[in-house]
Order: sequence, then structure tokens, then C-alpha cells
Amino acid sequence: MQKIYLIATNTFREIIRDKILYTIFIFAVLMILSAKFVGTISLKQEAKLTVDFGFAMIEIFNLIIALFVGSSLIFKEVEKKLVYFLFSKPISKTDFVLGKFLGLSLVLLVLNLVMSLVFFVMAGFEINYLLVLFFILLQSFFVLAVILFFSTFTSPIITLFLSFLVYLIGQITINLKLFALYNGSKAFQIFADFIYLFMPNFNLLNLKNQVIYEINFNFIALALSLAYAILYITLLLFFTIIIFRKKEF
Amino acid sequence: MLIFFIFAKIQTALNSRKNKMLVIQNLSKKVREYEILQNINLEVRQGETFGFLGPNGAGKTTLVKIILGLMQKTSGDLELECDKKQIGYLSEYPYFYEYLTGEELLLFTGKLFDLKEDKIKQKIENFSQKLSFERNDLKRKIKDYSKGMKQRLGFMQALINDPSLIFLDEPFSGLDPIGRKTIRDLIFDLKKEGKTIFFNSHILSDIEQLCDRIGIIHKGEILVVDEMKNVLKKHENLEDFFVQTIES
Ligand SMILES: Nc1ncnc2c1ncn2[C@@H]1O[C@H](COP(=O)(O)OP(=O)(O)O)[C@@H](O)[C@H]1O
Ligand SMILES: [Mg+2]
Repeated sequence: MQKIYLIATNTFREIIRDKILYTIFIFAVLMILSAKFVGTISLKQEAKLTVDFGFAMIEIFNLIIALFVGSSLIFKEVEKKLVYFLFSKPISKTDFVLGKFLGLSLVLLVLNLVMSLVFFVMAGFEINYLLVLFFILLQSFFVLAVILFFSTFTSPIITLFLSFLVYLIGQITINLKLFALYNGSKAFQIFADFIYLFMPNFNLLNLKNQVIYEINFNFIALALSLAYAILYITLLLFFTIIIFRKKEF
Repeated sequence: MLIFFIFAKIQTALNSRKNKMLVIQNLSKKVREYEILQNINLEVRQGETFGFLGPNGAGKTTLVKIILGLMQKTSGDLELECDKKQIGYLSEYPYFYEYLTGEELLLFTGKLFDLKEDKIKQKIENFSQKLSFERNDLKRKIKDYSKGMKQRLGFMQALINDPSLIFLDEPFSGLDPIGRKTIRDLIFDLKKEGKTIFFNSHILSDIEQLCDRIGIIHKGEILVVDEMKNVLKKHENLEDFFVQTIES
């Protein structure tokens, strides 16, 4: 536990000492604030558009940071020969993987707190908004787990590409299934079922539309979604550790 | 009488076991079809300085990595008489987290060994005097360090846990004569403290006085292991012996 904490805090330090992060972050804040402007240029449904655009920006910047920082997080350590130093010390590969995951998660948490604050200043505070923002953060932890998983066996570029693909597919698994059910051939249906079963279903974590169209939340469904995300993340980390433990340096 | 004899035998057997820090038997390492290490047999005794010598690409680093668990052996036995907490290691690449200051790196390293912060700081104080590190240097980011400074920082992180068994991979390479002397003096100090030292080197000059025993490895095979003093009895110098061994 102590070791995981050490790696996590060190990873946190590594990321926040990188100037690139601040550039992305300042850009993110500006984009979130520009939601107000987007809201005012459209005549109707001004508030809705502001909120919608704000959420979208927060989600995109979560994705950008998770993808660009996460895909090289483990790779860098191997490439720069830091693993020789680290793994000659009493620390396990499990500690390392979990520490890396928690370190970047911590960065994402802090960034989301600030972005949420900016969002609330712009769109006003509502408890429902907070719920949406929490699930966006949860999704970025989820995406991060996918990224770390790929990064144990492919290069950062391919990791980036595959993770982004999984993110996109994860948004539409249910749509794909339904589409196949009504329009597709048998083979396509099986394919869609397969994707629906195994690919992460990020749609479950997307509460944006429910808030925007003022649909009441089903809290049992939310609790199940939360449990689903945690379970899937745990599994991904488990396989990441299994693969990483086999690695030689 | 017989019982006493047996008892004495067991006693010596136990003692000799106890005196060994590292025992390697028939160890091999294959990567795909390529045999990097073939049938390695080697012992390192407690308190000795063992020089593991061989040309570039002979397999020295690979063996150390296997001992430390960074790589897996393909076959054979390896017994290490101490756990990771008592081991110090300086890799042939003295690269560390560039975004940390020297002091932060050492604190991080010390904490990996469960050392208390004030204990680590005390260690840092000691080291920086020995290795002529200024307080200011330790407060600077590692990315601004020179190669020599990184090497010295490498020594500090390798020794932060007061290890009883120390692995140094090419500790002399890429250093100027003064840097080499500093490192040599440091190794002499460690020797005096009774540490067991295992170092890899393809550089042979100035290490004759340092080693108690040497092993020579070439193309993944150990050609000889002998006491330094035996080598010097039969040969003019180490370099001579080394060239003869490799060429024969
Ligand atoms: N992971 C690896 N895969 C394939 N070959 C390797 C690997 N690591 C080292 N080698 C090869 O094994 C040989 C020994 O390397 P090394 O142990 O680094 O030698 P040394 O430290 O004596 O210079 C070299 O020929 C090197 O190319
Ligand atoms: Mg080497």
C-alpha cells in the first residue's frame, strides 16, 4: 500500500511538472468558458446549449489528457531505462501499475475539480450537473484503464489509436446492437452482440442527455453503472498487471 | 570420534554455505534461439569484491539483471543469501527521474526501502560530503546534471539502504581519470566496511588492486574464475591475462 502511494505521488509530480499539461489545461478552461458564448449566439434553448457544450468540452479534455499522458506513462519508464533503477528496489510490478494508474487518476481528479468549478461559475450550480461531471470523471478513469492495458503490449501510438477506437465503440455499443437486431444479417447480429458483451459500454456513464432533457434519474441504474465501471476497471488493471509481470527489461 | 567428525563436517558445510552471498549453478538464458548465457557457474563470497570482466556484449549485464529479477533465467539455479532490501544496484545507465531534484530522488529511493525521512536525510548529508555534492546541487533538477553528477547520484541511490551486497554495472565507463579515482576510492571504502561487491567491467585498467577475485566471461560463457593474486602471480598484469584468456 505504502509503495503504491509512493509511485502514485511520484507519478502525480511527474505529470504536473510537465508544461504541456498547463497549455492543454488553459485551453480547456477557455473552451469551457466559450460555452457561454455558444449559448448566446443560438437564439433558442440558450441555457441547454451552454450546458451541453460545457459537458462536451470537459469530456473531450478528459479524453485528450488521459490519452496523451496515459499512453506513454509506462512506456516512458521502460524506454528511459528507469525500470532498471526501480525494479532493482523492493517494489513489485503490481505496485507499479496500480501506482501509475492512481497517479494519473489523481491528476484527472484535480483537473476535473477545477474544470467543474469553471463550469459551475458559467452554468450555475445544480446537483444533477455534479452527477454528470462525476460520471464523466469515472469514464475517464475507465478509459485510462483501457489505455494502460494496451500500453503494456503495444507502442504509445498504437495504444493511443486502439484506446480511442475502444472509446468510440464504447459510445455506440447499444446502438450497434439495436441496429443489428432490426436491420442486420445473422452474422452482423452475432458480431454486434459480441461487441456489446465485451467492449466497455461507456453509454452507461453518459448522463448528459438525461440532464439536458430533464429526465429523472433512476438511482438504482446509476448504482449499477457505477458498479459496472468499477468491476471493469478492476478487471482491466488485473490483466494489465498479469501482462506487465511477464515483462523482462 | 566419528560423531565428532560428522559434526565438524556439517559445521564446515554450514559455514561455507553461510559465507556465500550468491551461488549460481548451470544457469542459462535464451532469448528465442539465441543463447545469451550458457551454463554459468559462479559463487560470490561474503565480503569479497568480485570483478566480472568481459568484452562488450559478453553477457555481463544480462547476468546481473537475472540476479536482480529484472529478467528471468531460462534454466539453472540461483541462490541469493539476502533479500532485495539488502541489495544495492547501479545500472549501466545512470538515468533517473529527470523531473525530480537529486534530493527528491534520494528521498523517493529511501522510502522504497521503508526508511524514515530523517534517516534518509542524514544519509544524504553523509554521501554528499563523500561524493562532493553541494547542497545546491541536490536542490537542482536531475535534468540539469552532468554525466558525472548523474553517476555520483547513481551511487548515492544504490547505497541509500546501506546494502550488504552491491552490484555495480560498468561503474568506470564514461568517466574521466578523476571521476574514476573518486569511484575507486568509494569502492575501497565500501570494501573496508565489509560489503560484498560485484561489479561488471570491460575496462581493466586500475582495477587490479580492487578485486579479490575475478571472472572472465566471453560470448555468454565463463572462461575462468580465479583469485586476483593467482592471476598476478602467473601474469604480468590483468590486461595480459584477459587478452590471453579471450584469445585462447
Ligand atoms: N532482451 C534481449 N534480447 C535479445 N538479445 C539480447 C537482449 N539483451 C541482451 N541481448 C544480447 O545479449 C548479449 C549480451 O548483452 P549484455 O548482457 O548487455 O552484455 P554486456 O553487459 O557484457 O556488454 C548481447 O549480444 C546483446 O545484444
Ligand atoms: Mg553491460
